[in-house]
Amino acid sequence: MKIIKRSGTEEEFDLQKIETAITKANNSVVESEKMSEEQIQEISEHVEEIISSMNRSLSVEEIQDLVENEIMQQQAFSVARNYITYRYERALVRKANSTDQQILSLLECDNEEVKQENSNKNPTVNSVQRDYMAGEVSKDITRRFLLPPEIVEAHEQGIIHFHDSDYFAQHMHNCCLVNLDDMLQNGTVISGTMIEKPHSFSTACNIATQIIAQIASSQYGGQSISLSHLAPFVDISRHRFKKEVKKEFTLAGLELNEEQINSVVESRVLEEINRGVQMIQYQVITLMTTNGQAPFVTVFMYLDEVPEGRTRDDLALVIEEVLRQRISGVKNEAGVLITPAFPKLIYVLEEDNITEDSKYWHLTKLAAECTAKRMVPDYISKKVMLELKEGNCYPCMGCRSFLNVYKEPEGDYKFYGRFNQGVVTLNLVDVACSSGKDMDKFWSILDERLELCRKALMCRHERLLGTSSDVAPILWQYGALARLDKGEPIDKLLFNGYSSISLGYAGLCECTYYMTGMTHTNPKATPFALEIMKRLNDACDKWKKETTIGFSVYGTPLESTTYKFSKCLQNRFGIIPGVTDKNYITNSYHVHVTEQIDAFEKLKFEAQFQNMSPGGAISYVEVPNMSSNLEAVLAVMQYIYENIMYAELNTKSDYCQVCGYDGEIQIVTDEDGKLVWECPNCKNRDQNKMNVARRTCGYIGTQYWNQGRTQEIKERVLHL
Amino acid sequence: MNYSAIKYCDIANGTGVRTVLFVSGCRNHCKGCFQPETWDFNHGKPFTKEVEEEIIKSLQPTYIQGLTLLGGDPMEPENQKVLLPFVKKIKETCPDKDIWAYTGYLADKDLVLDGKCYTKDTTEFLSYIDVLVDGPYKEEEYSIMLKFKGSANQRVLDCKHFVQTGEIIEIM
Repeated sequence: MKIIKRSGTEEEFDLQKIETAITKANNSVVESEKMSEEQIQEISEHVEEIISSMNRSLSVEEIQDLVENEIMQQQAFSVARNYITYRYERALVRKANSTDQQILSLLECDNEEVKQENSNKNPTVNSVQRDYMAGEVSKDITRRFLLPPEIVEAHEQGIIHFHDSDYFAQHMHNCCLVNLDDMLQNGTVISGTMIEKPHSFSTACNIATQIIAQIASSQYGGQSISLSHLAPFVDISRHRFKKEVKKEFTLAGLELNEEQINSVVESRVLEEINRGVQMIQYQVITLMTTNGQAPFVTVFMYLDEVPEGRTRDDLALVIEEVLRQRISGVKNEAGVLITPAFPKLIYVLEEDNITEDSKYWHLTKLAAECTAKRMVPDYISKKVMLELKEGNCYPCMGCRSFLNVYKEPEGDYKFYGRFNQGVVTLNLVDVACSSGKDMDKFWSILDERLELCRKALMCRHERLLGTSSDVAPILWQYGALARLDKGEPIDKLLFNGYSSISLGYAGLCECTYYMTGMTHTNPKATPFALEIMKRLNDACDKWKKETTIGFSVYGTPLESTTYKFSKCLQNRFGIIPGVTDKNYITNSYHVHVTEQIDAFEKLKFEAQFQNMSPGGAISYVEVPNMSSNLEAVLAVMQYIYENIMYAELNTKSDYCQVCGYDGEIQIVTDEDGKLVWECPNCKNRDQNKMNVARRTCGYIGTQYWNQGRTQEIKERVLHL
Repeated sequence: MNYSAIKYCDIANGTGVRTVLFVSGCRNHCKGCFQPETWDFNHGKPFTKEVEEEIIKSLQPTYIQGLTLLGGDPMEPENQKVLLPFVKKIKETCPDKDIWAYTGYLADKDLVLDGKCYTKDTTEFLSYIDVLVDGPYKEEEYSIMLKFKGSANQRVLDCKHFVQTGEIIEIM
């Protein structure tokens, strides 16, 4: 016989617990009103009888109601009163405010949890502290008032992860594709000021960064812009320069032919592109949003997105400039050129740039050099994406969230201006361990947990329901996502698959290993792993059908949640070799970081799982410094084009300021057993005199990492 | 001939993604050699037809640019003898793959007529090799920052050009 705990997990019914609770209540009343031992036993036995006569497991609350009724049946009203008071007090404790200590420790900079949470935020800075204080309050309110107790408990036990509860108190969504084209072409309003269609490329870039900053402060996830929306402004600049140049030369009394004028104009166009691109790069990384960090922004570079001819050639010039500037890097406070974390770059591999004889091969070669040096761009294969997305190719929102294909009522596909409502991640390793290797049980627990996820996701959805467009005018009224009226609720954007909502999953690798004794790369175990993916997709399809909300399966990037999950698993199930014995669990469908597999095999293997993560996912290959072997980088890129929709190369291009070494700085164990970074050339260990960049989640981190994450980085197997 | 190891999907010993064959046997005995156990001609396992097939199979995907011969030293006369028909076969069956070889000997001194490692096979053998990295490993000239070689004295040569003209052209 089973009962359902507040977390939604099942537990064996224990009669003793009921007896103990009643006895406690009984002992606290005066002698004359006490029940006898026999009465207590009668109550608990009767309760047991009722429970076993039900055809389902009862919840803790239901059982406590039964006990209350039974005590009253025995006419022991004082005992009943005490029992009810006890229940009430326990409920109060569960709802009690616990933020005071959190906030105080935050202000004194000794809150470890916060320190480790986000490697892009510096918790000693005042503005970041303000964001964190708001975050603590939001988490607290979320836990005590906004979420049902079973979701809170499941979250705390690491059965699921309810992401971004530090922003949940407000009516905020996650991430988006900015409709920059609409904003630039038709004008927008920023902080109450009308911004008309710009008359030059650099102004368009300037406005774009203002828009990015505003959007980043109105949502908590990443955003993406496409260079295609900026490219048309190059020609507007060109026309202006032409007029200016003609005028200037006439004034100077010089007569130039058309060809001479054009060559002067083109050189000004290149300067203009340089200025505009530099503005985006520097503004984006120097901006600090109200979230206490640089905006999480991705820049999409897709040649085929604009018509062939002038605009596409201009887009190629802009892409070339973006890559060149990224290759040279950005100066840090010591004046050393280093790898910036933002904006993230995505380059689309397509028929126009993928072979040596294609028109834009020179850009692809430049992209390869840039990846080797700066870890970005990441790559989208147009070829594979067209197959998976009904002939469409479009960017993810921020780092990896992909929208589903959506057609407007008029029948046109639409991507820019859409967004994601939020994420809840299911810990698959916990499902496995809870089943004790019993397959039937595994599938039934998975179904239960999926129901729990649905409930949690509906909380996210309902939090957005009824939100007024006034909460973020730039998003909902002035074109970034929509042009709704003032005060109009955003509700219509939450249905019919317009926006997505993500069922994340983590630890497919460990889950499969626990259930089958093999990792999911083993052909005997792969079908099981794929079957799990199918279940997740089936669940999303079913929910979508029932609600029209855009549920989709998402390969969560986990970040610090990986520790939370592994800690919770160890608490719940102890150390199980290959399953719970690390301080991390594997992201999404990824192959375990310690598994020996070459880059091509890995990409090929993971592609089949990426197809089953329509809500987003990215595959990576871990490689050494490849700056001196760009041919190999290009070979990987061409393989990506043929085989997988979205992938990245984790290259190593660190820099030692002591000796000028430009390659991979290594992790070594020092005299005290601590992991430290060391230059292999001059043995420098001073972290302040070296620049290390590693991809640890969706984005690049350039601060250093805690010992757990450093351990994971050290254990990464190279795939080339 | 014996071989000590085959590395697949290697990117450190030549341009592109490559298969690398480490043959056994080397008389150079450079100080600070990264794998002195391969000096012994009997080290490792026999280089059989099956191993040859395995290597040729590994070269088939388009993403593999070619094969690198490493050691030991592939230019030791007894190794040349075994490797010649093998590289010839590769050039016949996969003409679009390139071949790199690493040797501690000097192309223009030891691999020419009357040179230490010159045999009747040498000229033909070299004619199938696209890039030759030559010269002994000198510990005092070691640097982690060098491209495709261990010490600064070593040279990355255009082998085709060398065979045709006898001229040394360093390509990196």
